[in-house]
Amino acid sequence: MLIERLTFYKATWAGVMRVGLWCILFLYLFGSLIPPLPDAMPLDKATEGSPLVPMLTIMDDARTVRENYLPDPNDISIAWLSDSSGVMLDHGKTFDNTPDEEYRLFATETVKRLQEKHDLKNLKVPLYLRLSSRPVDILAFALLALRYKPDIIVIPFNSVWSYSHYQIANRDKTMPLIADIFRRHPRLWPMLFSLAAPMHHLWALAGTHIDIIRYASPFKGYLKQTYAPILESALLPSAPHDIKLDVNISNIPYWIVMNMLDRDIAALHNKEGKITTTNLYHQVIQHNDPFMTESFASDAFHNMIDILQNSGVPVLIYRWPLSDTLLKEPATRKKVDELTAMLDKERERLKNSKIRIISHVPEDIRKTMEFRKSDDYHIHNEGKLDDFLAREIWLMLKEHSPKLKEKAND
Amino acid sequence: MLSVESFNSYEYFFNFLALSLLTVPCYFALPTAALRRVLMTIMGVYLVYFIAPRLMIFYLAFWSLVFFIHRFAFGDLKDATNARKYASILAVILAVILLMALPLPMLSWKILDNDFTFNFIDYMNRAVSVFSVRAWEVDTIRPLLVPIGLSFATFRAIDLMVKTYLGKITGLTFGQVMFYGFYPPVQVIGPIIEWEEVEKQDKRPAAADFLNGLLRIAIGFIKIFVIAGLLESNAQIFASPHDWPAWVLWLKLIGYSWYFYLNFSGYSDVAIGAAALYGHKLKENFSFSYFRPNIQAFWNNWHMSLTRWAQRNVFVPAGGYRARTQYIALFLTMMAIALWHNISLSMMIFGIYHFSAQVIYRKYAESKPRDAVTSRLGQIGGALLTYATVLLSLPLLSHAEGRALEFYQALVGM
Repeated sequence: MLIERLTFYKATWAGVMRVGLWCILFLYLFGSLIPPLPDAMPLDKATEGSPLVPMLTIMDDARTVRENYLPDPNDISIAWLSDSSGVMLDHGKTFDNTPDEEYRLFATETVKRLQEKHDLKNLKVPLYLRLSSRPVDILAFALLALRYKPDIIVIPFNSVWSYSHYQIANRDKTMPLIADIFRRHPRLWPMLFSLAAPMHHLWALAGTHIDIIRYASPFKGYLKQTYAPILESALLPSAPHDIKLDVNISNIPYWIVMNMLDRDIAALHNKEGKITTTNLYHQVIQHNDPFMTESFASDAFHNMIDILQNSGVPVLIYRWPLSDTLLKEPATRKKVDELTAMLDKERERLKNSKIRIISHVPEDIRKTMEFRKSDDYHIHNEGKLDDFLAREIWLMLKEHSPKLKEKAND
Repeated sequence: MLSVESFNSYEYFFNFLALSLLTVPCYFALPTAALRRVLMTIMGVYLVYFIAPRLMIFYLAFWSLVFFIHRFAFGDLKDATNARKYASILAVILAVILLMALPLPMLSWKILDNDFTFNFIDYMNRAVSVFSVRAWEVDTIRPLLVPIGLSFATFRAIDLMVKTYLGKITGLTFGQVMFYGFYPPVQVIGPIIEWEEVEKQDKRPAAADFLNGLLRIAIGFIKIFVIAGLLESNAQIFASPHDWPAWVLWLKLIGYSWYFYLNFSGYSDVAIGAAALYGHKLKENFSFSYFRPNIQAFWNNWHMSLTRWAQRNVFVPAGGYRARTQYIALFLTMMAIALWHNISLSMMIFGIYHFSAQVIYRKYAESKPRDAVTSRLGQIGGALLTYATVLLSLPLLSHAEGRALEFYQALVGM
């Protein structure tokens, strides 16, 4: 027996339990020796000087959320969820070639309008922005936002992905968070046990108490950054990496060709015979199914609505507008109209609640937005959308926020 | 350009170990062997589901086919031989067709490579959608992977079929075949276990066995993440061999050989240790392979589960223990081992190379007196020569023949 040869130890079950307890104790003690990790977050520089507080770590950091955020009860807190649609890039720039600090955020512009028009000085906007967020990710961020009991939660409904069966989550990057958050809501357990793997559950259970597990992922990156210049490349081959928003590229092109188009790749070509991101978005939208209820895409949206409704926190959900290029295609338009109809149905159902759904942004507002030619979805310029949304947020705060009512009484 | 994504075996084992915190106590608490097998089967199915639901569907179908062949095609065949002649002929034809279907996915994958893989993913994904939209949604966010564990599963299935045909294993239930098929510790990276290794292991482990399992897992992970992790960068030599002078290339090749061994044997340690947690004592898969005094001993101690499989199913049936046919049997065995890794010209060369090395050794061994004793220096020399022989074949294992030739040229400074 190897154990006896190595240690001269005759094992008993009591001894096994003792070994286990010692392991847990030492894991806990080692964790307390770990120096505090820098809480550097993507978008810290892009949001400097604004009320926005970036809440989400880089994708590979299992902690997922900022740990040093302490909401001030006197602040008016707007929890802002966003995916890449809320990031505006200047002409000629892409997500790949633009550092985070050069991102212009739709949230920043909207909050500026809000402050300019309504003199809100004590505003705090915890920002839950992650590129390539999908329905299950948005659900997780919404539940995360609820923890801090904001005055309002603002959530974009992504016209491309929110009801796509092909991308219900951004791979496994949000799974530790999902394992932690979804277990508190039994209605989410089917999704929880289908998506989050056992190691995610272990992380969620143990990571909150044992630092060495919670910090394992970022600590590896921290070691690389601190000691890479000292140790030779054979030991740590990667160069130190910047804290950066990153995108986990999906396998969606494969599914579009093989599944949606049944291998007819010619259907993906435009008139010039090229495959463009716009074409990909057309296909994804055209294969959405907003009225299919037996799916995780539907579960994510409707469960989010129900949980938020039960929480009593005001919520503003707005459907992110689409460009003329996407809307003029009849098959795409038909699906967008179905999405709008579904949202209208939900809005009607929720009309007496604190949840407001904007199923489509007014046409005159949408026309002021400048969409990027590269994909006809993301934007260079928000036009008057920030004004529009700022007004909607203000109306909801005025109606539901006790802090604003107190201020009005003052 | 779309490409197949890599799979991290350690994630599978992390999931296994995390789940074991729950399943080991349940396993101990269950009163019957049948229930314990059901628990492990469910565990195995669930873990494969997390790799990708499409793989779960595939393996459910695969092992169902294995069960059908085991119970009906071969089982009824033996009974019908005398009584119903025509029925037995049809049963033989059916059995052969079904038997050919078993290795077909593996062979198709090895020959067609990415073409097979992308079609496999698509068809299995569609199969998932027939059963559940939700599982289908989960499947589409899983990486585009090669059929993980297919080579190991195929050889396990063939082994079971051969033993069924020979009458050594009969009357397995559907639950038993599924348990064998989805046995969690060996699902993704082997070893290629035999049914007998897990058949009788229904008793709960002793504390020493359990602790031994944990220690074995720890040793495996240290090999994989610490030692092999430090040596991993040596694998870069195959991508661009001319970036280094010849003497550095030799050193890095030696480094790579140890990375390869430690990584592979490390995962075997984890699998064997994982099985020990449930009271199953699996056979060893590696045993100080690089320190063996001759090439024959090397192959008897390297990826032993594959060597044992080849010995049972190729070497012995081909007449390996008869003087007249031993070399044909040896050739077929080495080719089976080589082509199991990949069906390519470089692997054929690999197989011929190691066959030749073993023939040379056999001739040398036959020329020595029976009672000859090898000196200590001789043993060390033999081990070094064996290691060098294996070292020179590694580029063939890692690359197609064109790239391997380029590497060999760089090794000699050309």
